[in-house]
Amino acid sequence: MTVRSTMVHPHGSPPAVEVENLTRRFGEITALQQIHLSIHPGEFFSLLGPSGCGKTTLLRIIAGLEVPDGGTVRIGGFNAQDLPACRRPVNTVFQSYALFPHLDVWNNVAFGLRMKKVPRSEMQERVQRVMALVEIESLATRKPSQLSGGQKQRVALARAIVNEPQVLLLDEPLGALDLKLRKQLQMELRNLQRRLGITFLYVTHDQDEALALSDRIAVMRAGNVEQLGEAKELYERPRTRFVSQFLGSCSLLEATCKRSDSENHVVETASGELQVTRPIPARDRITLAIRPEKVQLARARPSDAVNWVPVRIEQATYVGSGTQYELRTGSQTLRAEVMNTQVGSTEFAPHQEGWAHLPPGALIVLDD
Amino acid sequence: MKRPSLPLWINAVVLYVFLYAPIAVVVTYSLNSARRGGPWRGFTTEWYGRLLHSPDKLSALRNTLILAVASTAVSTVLGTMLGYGLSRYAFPAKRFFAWLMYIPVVIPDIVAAVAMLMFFALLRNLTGLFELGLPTMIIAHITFQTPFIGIIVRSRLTDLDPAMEEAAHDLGADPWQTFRHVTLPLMMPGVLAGAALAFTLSIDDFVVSFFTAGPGSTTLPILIYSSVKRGITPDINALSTLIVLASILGTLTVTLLRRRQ
Amino acid sequence: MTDRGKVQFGERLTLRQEWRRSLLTSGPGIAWVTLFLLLPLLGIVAISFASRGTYGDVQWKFTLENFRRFLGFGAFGFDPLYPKIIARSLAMAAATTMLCILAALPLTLFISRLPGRFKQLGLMLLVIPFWTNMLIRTYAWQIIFSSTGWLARSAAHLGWIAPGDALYPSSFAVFVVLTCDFLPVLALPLYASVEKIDWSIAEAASDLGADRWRVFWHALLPQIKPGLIAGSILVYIAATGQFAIPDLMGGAKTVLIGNAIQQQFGFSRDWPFGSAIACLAMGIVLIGLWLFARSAGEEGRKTIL
Repeated sequence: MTVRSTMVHPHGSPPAVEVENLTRRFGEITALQQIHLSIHPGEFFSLLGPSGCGKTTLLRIIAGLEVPDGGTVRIGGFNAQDLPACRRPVNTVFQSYALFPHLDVWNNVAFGLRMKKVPRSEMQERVQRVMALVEIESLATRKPSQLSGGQKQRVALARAIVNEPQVLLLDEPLGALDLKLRKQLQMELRNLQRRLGITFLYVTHDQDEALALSDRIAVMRAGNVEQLGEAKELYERPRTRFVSQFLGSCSLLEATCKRSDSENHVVETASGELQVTRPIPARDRITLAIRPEKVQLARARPSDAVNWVPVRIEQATYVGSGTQYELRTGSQTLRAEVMNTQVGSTEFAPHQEGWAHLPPGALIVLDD
Repeated sequence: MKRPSLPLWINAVVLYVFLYAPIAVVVTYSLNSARRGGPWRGFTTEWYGRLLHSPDKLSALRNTLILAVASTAVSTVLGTMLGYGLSRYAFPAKRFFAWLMYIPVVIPDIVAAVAMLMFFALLRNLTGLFELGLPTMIIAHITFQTPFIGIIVRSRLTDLDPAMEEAAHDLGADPWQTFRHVTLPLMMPGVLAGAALAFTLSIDDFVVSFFTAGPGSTTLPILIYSSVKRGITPDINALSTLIVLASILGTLTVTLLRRRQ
Repeated sequence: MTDRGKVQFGERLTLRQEWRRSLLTSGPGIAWVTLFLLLPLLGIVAISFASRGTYGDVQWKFTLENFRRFLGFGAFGFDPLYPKIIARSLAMAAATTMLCILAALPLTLFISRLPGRFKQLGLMLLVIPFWTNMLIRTYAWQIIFSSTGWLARSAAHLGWIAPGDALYPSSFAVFVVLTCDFLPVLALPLYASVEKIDWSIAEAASDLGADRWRVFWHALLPQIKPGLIAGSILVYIAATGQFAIPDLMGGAKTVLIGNAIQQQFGFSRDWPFGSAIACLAMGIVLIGLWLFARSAGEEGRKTIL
């Protein structure tokens, strides 16, 4: 399933990166299947997906470190086809940092400028500025083997940014760090990107990270882009089962279309009729999805209320800020998450009966 | 990790004695004032002084060093290029050729020596050149040193993280710059280790040198062998002691340098 | 279809360019070794089918005479000279390898159990003889074994040998010197494996009730296999082709394959016959290698270096 997005940025300047019909095969396996993407200048764009979905391959093709089997790559409006990696206006921050062990930090950072034969005084000034930006000035004379994970990460970042690339490519840069450090660096990355205004193309498998940092996210699976959009759109309106389960979790319900006209849309499920707020596609079987935090629980059903189903509590797990319930309605399972917002709020125990409210606006009709 | 037990200690000490007995004996008897290498008579250093005045020993030393330096220089270049090419580029029948490079390492040196001897004879028949002497010895040494260096450099390069060179390219270095500034420095320790090995193999070599030597191109090992066949003399012991000291110093130096890294 | 090439290590190469690179880099080395060693080795095989002319030159008449000769079927009926030499060499190589293994195992265990800096020292003491000229280490045994040395005198005292005799030349001397000279060659690769032993496996085995022999055979031996095989191969190959050691320590009494080859290329000047023996030596080594490789796999050989 391909996703097309607008080819021209609303502001009129060419996209920072544009990828058309990109295909990459490794023997029998197709890593990328005719990918189309357009990344706006100055945005923080993430490629999100499980391992093997092709996100790193895509990044490397844009960087020039791999050659696609078909399709084109345009950077800043120019065809990058025949440009070797060393001449593309992009720089990469590698997952393993790839710092040069035989050079000290200062020379690592200055490497790109040295290769381009930038005059010494300018080189000094730019390196100094970037090192201050990333807060590694005190490490200038150290060798990479003497640095901690977080410090290496900053050096890798500095080394890439000092070249003032049009696009910065980051390949799961925070993967090897512990949770606390990761959270801290995530925020620093976001702030850095805003300050510098450079387009960031970020690859990750961590959905929290993608949601927190990105302007737009492309969710990838098995060589395809399943859905592309802003964080909120992806979370609230996932279009496929995969996306609904990959970003957060959803309860899925099987349904069939009962009635769908200009006034209301109703589906038939094993637990009764449900109203939804979006038009229902004309298919035999439809899958509905609803986020656990949108499901409301009550002991009794209010009179003439819509979208209430009888449920039976299977499991209740207390997680501190809330309680997660596993409910059974008819033959299907529902998951609900209720925040413990009030002291002494209603709690349900397993084997109890109750009613769950599935607000029409929260029910998502999936494409598959 | 428990400490070594008593039987292990005893075994180790006995073995170390066996390993060092020859060295100790040579050193001791080099200071023996007995003329024809008989039992201990008294302490003297005259044999060391004699060495400086024996032309055959000095020329053997000269030959050994020329041979080692020349062959190491060429084989390091050939071997490094070989190791680099094998680790990076694919070509038809590459597997076969790579495997072929192991043959010189596993063949007994006498077989290699006579093979080269006969080949030089053939070349002599055809071209009138290749008289046995230093040049043929240098060629022979290069031949067995190159695969060793190739293997070392190749394994060093395959251990290298490819992301290094990718990063260099990504940052704007063209292929030549990448090689000069990243690949070469990172593979240098392997090249130096290979060169050190080649140098030592050449200096210590006896069999190959013996078969490919001509009149006037005697090396130290050949000299020692011929002398010993005639009967051990104290000045040979003195020469041997100096050689042993040199190799001990060399080993210590290399180990200390390695430690520094 | 245009060759888009592939990118490796950041550089973009077409197939043609890759081939050209290989030629420029590996080409010279491969060419040199092929020309000066591999082709001559084939030459040895070829010459072993030739015969010796009256004046010591090579006559290109195909014959199997040389091979028959060293199998014992010479011109004058069965002559056990060469079969004996072959058998003796095989036995020596095998025995030396065995003894080196038996000696090196406890030695490497010992070094691996030494604390910190002493471990470096123990290793260094093993490395130094390794880098010391083998010829020197060998001839020194002539001094040790000489009739006036206390070893020979004690042996005479004990009645093992006649008084006034030296302990060399003899098979015993050849054997001892072979073992001592090659011990470091086996011990160093073996040590590389011994150092990496995961002792918890041995502990688990003995916890489960295995006796010491079983613990060694099932828990330790598999772990040290690569180094053991690598070292054994080196010793075996070197011992098979030796001629200096049997020459200096065994004299005319203990002739091995290496001496036999040297004779044919020396005063006997029978190059075809010498080549045949060399072929045999190559054959023995290759068969031995094949046997070793079957029990170890590729890692054994790679661990050498």
